[in-house]
Amino acid sequence: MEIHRSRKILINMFMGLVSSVMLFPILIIVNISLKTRREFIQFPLSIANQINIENFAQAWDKGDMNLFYKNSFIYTIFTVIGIIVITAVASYPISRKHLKISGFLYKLFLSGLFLPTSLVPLMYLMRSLGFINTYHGYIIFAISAQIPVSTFIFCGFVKGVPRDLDDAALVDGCPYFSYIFKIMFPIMKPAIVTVAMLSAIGVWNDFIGPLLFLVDRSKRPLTTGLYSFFGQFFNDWTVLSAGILIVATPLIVFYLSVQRHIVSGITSGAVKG
Amino acid sequence: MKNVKYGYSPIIAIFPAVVIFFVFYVLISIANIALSFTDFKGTFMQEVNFVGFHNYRLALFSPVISRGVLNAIRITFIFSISVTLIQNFFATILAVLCNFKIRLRNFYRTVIFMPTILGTVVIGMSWRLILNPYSGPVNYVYNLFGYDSAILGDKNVALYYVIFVMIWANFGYAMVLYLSGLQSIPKELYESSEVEGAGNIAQFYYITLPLLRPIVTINILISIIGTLRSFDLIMVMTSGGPADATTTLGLFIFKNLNSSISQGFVSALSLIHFLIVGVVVFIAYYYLKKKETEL
Repeated sequence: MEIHRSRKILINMFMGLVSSVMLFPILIIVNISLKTRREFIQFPLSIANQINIENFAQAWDKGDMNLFYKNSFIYTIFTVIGIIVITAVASYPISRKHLKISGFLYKLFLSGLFLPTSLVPLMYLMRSLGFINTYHGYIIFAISAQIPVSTFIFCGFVKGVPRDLDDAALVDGCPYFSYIFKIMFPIMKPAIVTVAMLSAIGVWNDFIGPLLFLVDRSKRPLTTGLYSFFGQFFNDWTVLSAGILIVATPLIVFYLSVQRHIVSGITSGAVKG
Repeated sequence: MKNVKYGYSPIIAIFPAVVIFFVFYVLISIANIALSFTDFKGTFMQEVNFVGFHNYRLALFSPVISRGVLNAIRITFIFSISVTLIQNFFATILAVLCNFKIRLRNFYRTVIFMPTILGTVVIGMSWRLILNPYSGPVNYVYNLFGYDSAILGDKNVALYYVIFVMIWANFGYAMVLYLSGLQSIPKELYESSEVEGAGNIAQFYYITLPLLRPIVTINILISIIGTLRSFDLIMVMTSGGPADATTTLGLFIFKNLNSSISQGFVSALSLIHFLIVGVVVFIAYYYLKKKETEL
């Protein structure tokens, strides 16, 4: 939309103000993380006078960041692979109505978006399956949490793929699963990218799940790792800020590099619904 | 069940998803309803007795225990209503501004949307440092103006700070949804209204707002569901304190997961929570749909 020049200046001023409120916390944390402890106590708001990476080294070591990074990557990668294979394969018969209960299943999976989190039976289930403090246990839990959204995205996509293709393949005698994996999967690539991104962000940032099911320190991901780090070093501000940035940096880099996909991916689900 | 053309293949294809969904959603939901009428203690090694509506009476009407529950419900509503209204108000305005042809609009959108992917722990921890009452920058600025506050440690104001951070973290998402709605409004409408002499403000009221209605509905429902249910950000920032001043119902349930009363009691709380979310969403949905058709 076109607009007068004077109004443009006003809008820019207002948006600039909002943007600085958004950036302010991150800049403050960066600033604190670069200071020495002494400098921070004397001048909490001054701009750091040199670049001091000592805090980062300390946070990385004391915070066990190696371990937490490794765990976060394991949980995220396997959950993303699992959720894509399980729901992309399931979405084909569901959206093509190859089963009498296809329509019902679609609605059932969607209802998962609104069902309450029943923590008591969930806790009991995880405990009795021996899923507490295990990689596979948490990954299966994380997959279950992503089923409704990804089925929704995949089914929406498959509906848009012409059926002629299916019939042609059937005539050629192509087996069901090789059809899904060899022909449907490449076509579904945009939807797979969206689901991969959404579920990766979801698992990477999950806090309550690990807090409940990954109590053991050696199994913690970055989120609860950082949280426990806070409990240990709650007075060591400069190190804590460095710890926050160690966790936040990959997210910010990831966001800035594939920003357009993330924005459209995250919002696509909501608007179509 | 067998498909005429494909045999058992479709069943095998849906099988893993159905099993996981059945166990983690259907079974658990049914178990939760059943357990809420018992004195389940977290294990079936101990005797489990049917207690009727005892847990619900305890949660809502007993003199001592209900106080915490009702307080949490009250805080949930204050939290949810404030965040939903303020967030959507700001998000609409910012989306409209971001939709004008200004050079920096992509930069603004990038910055405002960023918290959506940062995650609750990074956001909550950062704000906890910034709002720290001893050496946090915010209190430092307050002190310069001769004002002293315990901020997140003050039970009279802690909730407002939490509400602020929740809005800070989520309104970029709402804004992007509004932006996508704005971009679907045909440009000819603005052009023809300009010919007839309508200003920007008039265009906003008579073209933008009415056509944005469906997105308003979606956005408000997402905000309501999100704020009524989520508690992770509050858990990171305050753990519900001070003195339960920021304990929403979701957080209350989480913190009382190993309640000394019984796990059946906690199940009843979960069901009460679900009913509250369901009723509020139902009312909001029909109200917003009615508003949409009125226009």
